[in-house]
Amino acid sequence: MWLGNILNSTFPYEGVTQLGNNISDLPFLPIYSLPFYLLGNVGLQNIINIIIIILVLWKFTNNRNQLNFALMSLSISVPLFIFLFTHSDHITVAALALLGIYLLNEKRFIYGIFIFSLLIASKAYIWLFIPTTLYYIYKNGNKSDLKKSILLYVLIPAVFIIPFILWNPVYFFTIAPIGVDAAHLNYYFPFSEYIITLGVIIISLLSYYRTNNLYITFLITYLIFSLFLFSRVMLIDTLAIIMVGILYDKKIKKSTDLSIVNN
Amino acid sequence: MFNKLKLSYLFVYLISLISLNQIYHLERVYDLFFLNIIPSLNFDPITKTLIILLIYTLIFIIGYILLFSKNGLKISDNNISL
Repeated sequence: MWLGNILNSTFPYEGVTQLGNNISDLPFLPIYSLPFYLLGNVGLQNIINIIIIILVLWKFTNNRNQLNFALMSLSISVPLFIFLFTHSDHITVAALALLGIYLLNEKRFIYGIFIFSLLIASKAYIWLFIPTTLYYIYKNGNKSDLKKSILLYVLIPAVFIIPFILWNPVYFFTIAPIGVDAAHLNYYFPFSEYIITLGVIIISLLSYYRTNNLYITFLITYLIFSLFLFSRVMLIDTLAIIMVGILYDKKIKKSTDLSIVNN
Repeated sequence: MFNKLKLSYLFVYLISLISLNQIYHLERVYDLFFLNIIPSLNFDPITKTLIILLIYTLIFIIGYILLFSKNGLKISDNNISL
């Protein structure tokens, strides 16, 4: 729909999807889909997404047991199958977010931030985690990393988003894409979309402050957010649970190994 | 202490159940998979929901046995004190 509109020189967010919804994808996602659109099937990008998810899990796990657990959990995960066949956008965001967190956790700050910069220009709910990534770099990197990160966070999304804001600012902010996610959150109580967003960001920052762990913080952030908008982040929740499970298993393994050495 | 991988596996199952219920509602999942194929298998919504719950729980249990049983993929319980 988005790509079809832009190829016809109309504002791409005007019009609705096949399900009758306004388009909520920010501009990077349709551009990511472009090669697959030209190949004839946008769903093909999910093959790349699945490969990214499996590669990250493979690199993250220490042994065959953990990898078996991760793959089995993925294969019983209903959100993965729902998104595989219906919404390729959410699975792209989940796969890239997983890759971004993995890279950040491996201290490859610039690559991780680059991925998250692209995600800022993909879905509005990823913005919830952006302050935490900056806080993570502030705590673990140096000042130069932090400056580069902020620069990337401003410049890369701007390249994707600003042309569309200039094209039709009122539609962009009030109807689609920004208005779509806000509309899902604004019926709980007055100004609930702002209060929920701010609340989740604060909880996310506090979680990192308390746990010092990016994966656990990622899980807490999106579990809290899923209380309000579960259907969008259910795959992110699943992937985060799998990663945190493996993480704890690694910690226990490490502590038992240490106890063997000590004995 | 409970094995953390088992706990995570349980959470993945719970999130999947909520997803099924949130997005399609369990009785509609039943319609999608069974009623469209064999129209005579029509029950009341609660029975349909229970059937889907049962089938998905069976899939979960098969995965659990494959992952954590002694004859399965042999995931060890790292919490056992050495």
